[in-house]
Amino acid sequence: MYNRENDEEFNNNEETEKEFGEGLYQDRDIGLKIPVPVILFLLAILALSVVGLIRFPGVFKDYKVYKTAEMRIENGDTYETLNDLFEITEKYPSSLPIIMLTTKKCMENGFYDSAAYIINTYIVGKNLYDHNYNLVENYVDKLDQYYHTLDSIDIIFEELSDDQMSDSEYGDIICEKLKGLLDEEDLDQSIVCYYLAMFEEDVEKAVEYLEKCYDLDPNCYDVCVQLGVFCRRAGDYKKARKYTNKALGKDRKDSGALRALAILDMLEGKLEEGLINAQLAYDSYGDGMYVRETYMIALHFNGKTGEADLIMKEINENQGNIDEDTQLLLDGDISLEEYYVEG
Amino acid sequence: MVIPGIVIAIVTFPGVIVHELAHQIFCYLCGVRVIEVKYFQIDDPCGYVIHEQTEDPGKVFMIAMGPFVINTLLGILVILPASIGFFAFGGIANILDWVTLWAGFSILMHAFPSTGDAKNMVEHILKNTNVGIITKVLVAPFIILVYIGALGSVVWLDALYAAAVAMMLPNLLVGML
Repeated sequence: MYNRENDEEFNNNEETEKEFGEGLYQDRDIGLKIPVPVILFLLAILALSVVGLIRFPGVFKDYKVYKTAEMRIENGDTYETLNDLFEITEKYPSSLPIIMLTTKKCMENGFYDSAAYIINTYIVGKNLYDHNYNLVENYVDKLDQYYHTLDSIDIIFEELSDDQMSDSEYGDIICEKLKGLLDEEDLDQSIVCYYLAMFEEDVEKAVEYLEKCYDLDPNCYDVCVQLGVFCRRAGDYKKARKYTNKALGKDRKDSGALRALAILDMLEGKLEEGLINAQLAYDSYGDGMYVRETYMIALHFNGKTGEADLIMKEINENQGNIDEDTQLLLDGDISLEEYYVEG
Repeated sequence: MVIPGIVIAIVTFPGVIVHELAHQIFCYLCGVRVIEVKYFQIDDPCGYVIHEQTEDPGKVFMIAMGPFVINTLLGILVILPASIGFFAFGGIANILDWVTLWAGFSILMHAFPSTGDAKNMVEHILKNTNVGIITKVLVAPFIILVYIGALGSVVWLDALYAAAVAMMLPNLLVGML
């Protein structure tokens, strides 16, 4: 800890001088000689260091996911980030900071089922401080309302499940029954409006329901993507693009939003941009609804018929034959507007 | 909270051993004869290195500051994975992590050179008439910091340093990588 040669008391101590002796003291140099117990101790420390070095990259990667989650979501990597947070939650099931962050991000981004799973699996039974306790209580209230609403909607579907009727009649009855839920204050009205939009035949009314859903909860399911699709069907490309861009702002790899953007590009005559976005949708999630069809159509309209045929083959293998309207489009019997826009 | 220094030294003995070893290593690297090393004892001081005098200000400086370099680097190496688990993730999963955390924290806590090291630098650098003024000006802040660190240990400054290194370094790495 210090150089005793500066300690006068030590240097003047007769006992110490006798201990070293003049010759012995002058020639003594232990250099880097280290006693065996200290060597063993060092080896143990080094072993800990090596173990630390081996484990560190994995732990650090998880820490990076945790620390950068907020920033990544703001940059439009929502789905991937939530996936990563889920993984580290499973890896560190007793880490409250991770669990709370994952729950919070799921709730903020409308992934209510995931949030419910985390609360049930990792939070229930844990002691929470006031702040976290209040947060979780709020989340549970929201989730209770969410599932109560879904249960109410499920009851409507179950009541009609045995009835024999056409799709149109079915849709009308569902709509009427769902409208009956609009007045119930204990239900999540954004979800009721979303379902109403899905079963509403009139595309403009469907857009109204979706806009109401969006106003109540911008993160309700894929409401932005659906608004992009429905507004396009209604012929309002500007609004469709606005909502599609909102969806991409949340997750820039959203295959539904990319597909919607590709269609808008093609309708506005930007065929090359349409192909780029269609390919991005396909690369992101080729199995997504109508993603392959849109990519095939974009390839076809960009003159890449060989590649379009390959995708057609893929569709036939995975989803069955393409529908009649798509065949008419590819044969040139109907236009893109007639195919993608109603009325 | 006032806890006798000897108790702290016993609990964090890995740091004491590495501290003395650091002095010894730097003596060896600087070609300064090492006469005796006490790596740890239940006494005051809890460890020491006796070495020959040197008038070379560079060697005096390096020998004195050796523990800061070696204890910090080794402490970081040992504590990093466990520190993320403890400070960031709010818990420690297994006994290995606890041992790592304790060893790393102990080593980091003893990174500060002692007042004896500072006195050595004062004697052989600041009061050395053969040392130029520029060298003295450059070394003086380090001597002040050593005194602050050594005396600050009374108010747990050494523990704060250890915790700061353990907590800040992962954040720095996240920013860089």
